[in-house]
Amino acid sequence: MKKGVNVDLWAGLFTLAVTGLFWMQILERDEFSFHSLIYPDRILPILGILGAVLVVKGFVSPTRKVEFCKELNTELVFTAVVSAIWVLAMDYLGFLLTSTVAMFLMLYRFQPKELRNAKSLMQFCLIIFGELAFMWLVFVNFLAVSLPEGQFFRMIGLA
Amino acid sequence: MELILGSFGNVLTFQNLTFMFIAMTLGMVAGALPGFSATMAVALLVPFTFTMSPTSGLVTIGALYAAAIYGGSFSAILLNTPGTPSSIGTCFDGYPMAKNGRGEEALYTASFASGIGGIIGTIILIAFALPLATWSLQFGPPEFFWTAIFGLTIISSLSTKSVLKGFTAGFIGVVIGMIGLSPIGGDVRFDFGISNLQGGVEMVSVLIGFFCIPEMLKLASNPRQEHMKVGTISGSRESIVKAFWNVFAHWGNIIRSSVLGALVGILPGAGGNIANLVAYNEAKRAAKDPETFGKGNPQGVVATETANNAVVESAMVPLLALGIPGSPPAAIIYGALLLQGINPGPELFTKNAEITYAFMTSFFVVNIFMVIIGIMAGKYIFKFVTSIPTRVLIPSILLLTIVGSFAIRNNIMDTILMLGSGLLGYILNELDFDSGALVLGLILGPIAEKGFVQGIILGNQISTETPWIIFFTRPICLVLIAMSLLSACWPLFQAYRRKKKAAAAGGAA
Amino acid sequence: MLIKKLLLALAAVSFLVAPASAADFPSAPVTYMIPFNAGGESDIFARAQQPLLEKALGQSVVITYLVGGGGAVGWKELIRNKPDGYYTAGFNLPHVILQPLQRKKAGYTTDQIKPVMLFMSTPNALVVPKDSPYKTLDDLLKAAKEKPGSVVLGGSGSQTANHLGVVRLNKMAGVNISYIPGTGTGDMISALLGKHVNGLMTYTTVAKNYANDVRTLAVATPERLAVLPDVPTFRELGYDLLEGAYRGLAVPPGTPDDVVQKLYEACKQVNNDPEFKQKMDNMGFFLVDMDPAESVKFINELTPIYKGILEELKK
Repeated sequence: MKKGVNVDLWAGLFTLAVTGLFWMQILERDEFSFHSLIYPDRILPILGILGAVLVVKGFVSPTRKVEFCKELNTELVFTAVVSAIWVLAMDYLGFLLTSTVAMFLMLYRFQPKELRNAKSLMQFCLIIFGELAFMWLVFVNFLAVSLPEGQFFRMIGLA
Repeated sequence: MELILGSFGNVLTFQNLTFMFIAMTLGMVAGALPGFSATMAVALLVPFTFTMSPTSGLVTIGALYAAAIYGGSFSAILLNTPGTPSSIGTCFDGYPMAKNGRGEEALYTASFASGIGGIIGTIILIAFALPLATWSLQFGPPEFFWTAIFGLTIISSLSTKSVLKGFTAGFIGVVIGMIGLSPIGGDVRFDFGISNLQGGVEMVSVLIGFFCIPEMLKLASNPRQEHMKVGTISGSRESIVKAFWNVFAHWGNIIRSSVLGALVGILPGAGGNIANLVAYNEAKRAAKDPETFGKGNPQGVVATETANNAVVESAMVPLLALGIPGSPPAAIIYGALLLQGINPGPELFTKNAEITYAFMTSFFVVNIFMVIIGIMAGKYIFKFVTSIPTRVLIPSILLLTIVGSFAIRNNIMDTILMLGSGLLGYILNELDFDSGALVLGLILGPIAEKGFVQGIILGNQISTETPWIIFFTRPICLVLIAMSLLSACWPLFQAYRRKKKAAAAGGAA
Repeated sequence: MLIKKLLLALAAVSFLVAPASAADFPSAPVTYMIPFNAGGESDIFARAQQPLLEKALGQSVVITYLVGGGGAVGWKELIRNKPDGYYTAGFNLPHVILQPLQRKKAGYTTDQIKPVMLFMSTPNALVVPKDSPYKTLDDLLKAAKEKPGSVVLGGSGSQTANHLGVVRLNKMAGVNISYIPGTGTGDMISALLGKHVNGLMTYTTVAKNYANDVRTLAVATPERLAVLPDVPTFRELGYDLLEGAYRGLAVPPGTPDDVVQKLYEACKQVNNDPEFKQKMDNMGFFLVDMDPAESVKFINELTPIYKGILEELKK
């Protein structure tokens, strides 16, 4: 086994997975009109073939990458997870609450340990408050964008 | 001619200049904010223009539109985030320039390029509006299909790592573009059972996701590092001088890019979004050093910025000459014209010629203003962005992308998809899939589908057994097919030439 | 844990300092959401209404857009909003009837769209280029009969009034005209002027605004239109085709009736403004006036008809 990740093989498998995922959704062909299927019917096989070629290439003459995802560390995963929760929770808990929490977590985590003191916590709050106030002012008040207020609050409000 | 000269008088009133100045400042801010598109900015401004005279109103909208497209270059260069599809190409070389400590130079280069592109676009608009509009009518569904295919072939020279993966990424983009309402059949498909996906995938949010989020993640892996080097060697003044020569020492690139931008930009739907990529592609192909493109070659920025600002004016061509709104911002201006009691179309050149020519000539003023404001603002924006420490920048930019992707359609699904495509984009990049190629597929996929299916229906007129023959019988189609083949095979040809050269060099030694 | 819950409840209350009674409605700005792109017919009309509506309501009216799925994404958002009259949205017929019938997950049902008023209609009009060989509807139908597949008509969208118009005309006249849906009005106009299609089954707005470039063969209204006096109706020509799009304002289900009534009166006042009426006539928009009850009745009458047409289409 040579060193490095076989990126061709993985890319091919990913492509095949995408093809499969989409193909599954047009199996019940009666549900769609002719004009809705004629194009996917041509595109999906092409994508499938490209994926298959990549898989074959992965076995025959693979490109190997030693530095695959070299940036991947706990900080990156932390950022990805926090932002994912931020976005997913926004509809339920509202823009202001989720943004405050998520931004605070990130600022706290990225701050060097020795500098996490009361003063920097105050700074974080100021940054978050300032940015959120600016966003709210510009987008909600001026541009009439209805940033989510939170389904959860709406629900208990109605109850 | 008299009309044109006279119209300068109509434009250059104190009131109009004030409106334009305000609109341009707002437009630049709007363009620089990812997700806040030129279309939205124009839509927001329209109600204010009802109280103005038709000339002032139109001139103000035009100024805003042009400035918003230009403003997109700020976020493209400094944050690798194309605010609109028009500035995708600017990311390719602008962001690497910024990372190499030439950010300021890149910003000024974009200003000069946008200005000159806009001015050439205006000349084309004034001189050729009618013939160009008539020409654009020749494009029916089959032609649009082939235009989209031609656009896709750009991938072959865009993807530097692997052409095979480039095309795979492009087709993945096409497939993602099929989510939602099918353009012709009217069925909802590939919605994974989620009713919010009926609206399909919003291109701009995916764009922000694929370009910006992976960069933010990479920064987050080491939050104490610097976001970008500050140009230590050259100060502002040197940067301006360098930027000036980046642009004005390369007239070939300027003329080619702006003419391409103007021609492609006329085509409704497709034009504005891909004109910058077509220009980028051609600049790369014509260059003596194509391998430096994508690594911070200022000519890449020059090509895309001249092209996308030439598009602004040419997108007005079908609207002014025929009354056909060819792009979303043009559609809004169409509505504004109607509400002002002006009927867009040929009447604009007869009954309302004064207004029309004032509108067209105002773009000259706008583009000159733009360079001045851009250079003044560029300095401060650059200083501001580089002064924010990375650990604060990451959450702030994430906030901006979240709000921006939501604001496009007020749809939470767009935000989720933005982040999802960002996380996916990081892994895809690592697998050597090219995000530019994927996004190109996403833009062109729906256009290709519409052209394809409409073409098939039209083909029934010719032959009910073989309706697809229509794609090969029309003259413009044949030209487009030839261009597509040429563009797809160009890298092969180039590789062959390089090999031969290498062999010759080897033989000599 | 308890503290957390209390905090959340507190936060919730602060979010809900909503105006209380219907008597002083409206005491805050009213949102008017458009589920279509800016620059489209719905948007142009709403933009024209906005200043007058503000005057009638005594509050500012905020126009926002939530575009996607032919309107469905917007209407889905409408029905999950608070039913207090402060969130309103434009709605279109036949869209809100057809989408729930036709899609597995439209995200809303027709009866969840609570109409305030149907205030405007754009009837179908059949237009051809000015230099087209088809001078009358009969010419066009004759050509379609002689050489099936030779006549292609464009229109805006699938399963829209335009589309159904062509389908119904095909059935009535015993012909087989192909229909090409485009993504918007502008899109189809260029297809018409570029001679890629033979004609358009479109709305009266096109017949009016592009009068220099097109000839209108027939309109799908009960009587001839004042703005197009020379154009016959389909009915006159022997085809009982009444078809068009209707646009109105709707609120989330469960909105109190007195609030709905207040909104209705404001909209009605706008429609009665003479200057507004004049402007809309010139653009080819037709003002109608159906109050909440009449609108519901109208929708209920149309539903079985469209159901029938859809089944016909599937065959």
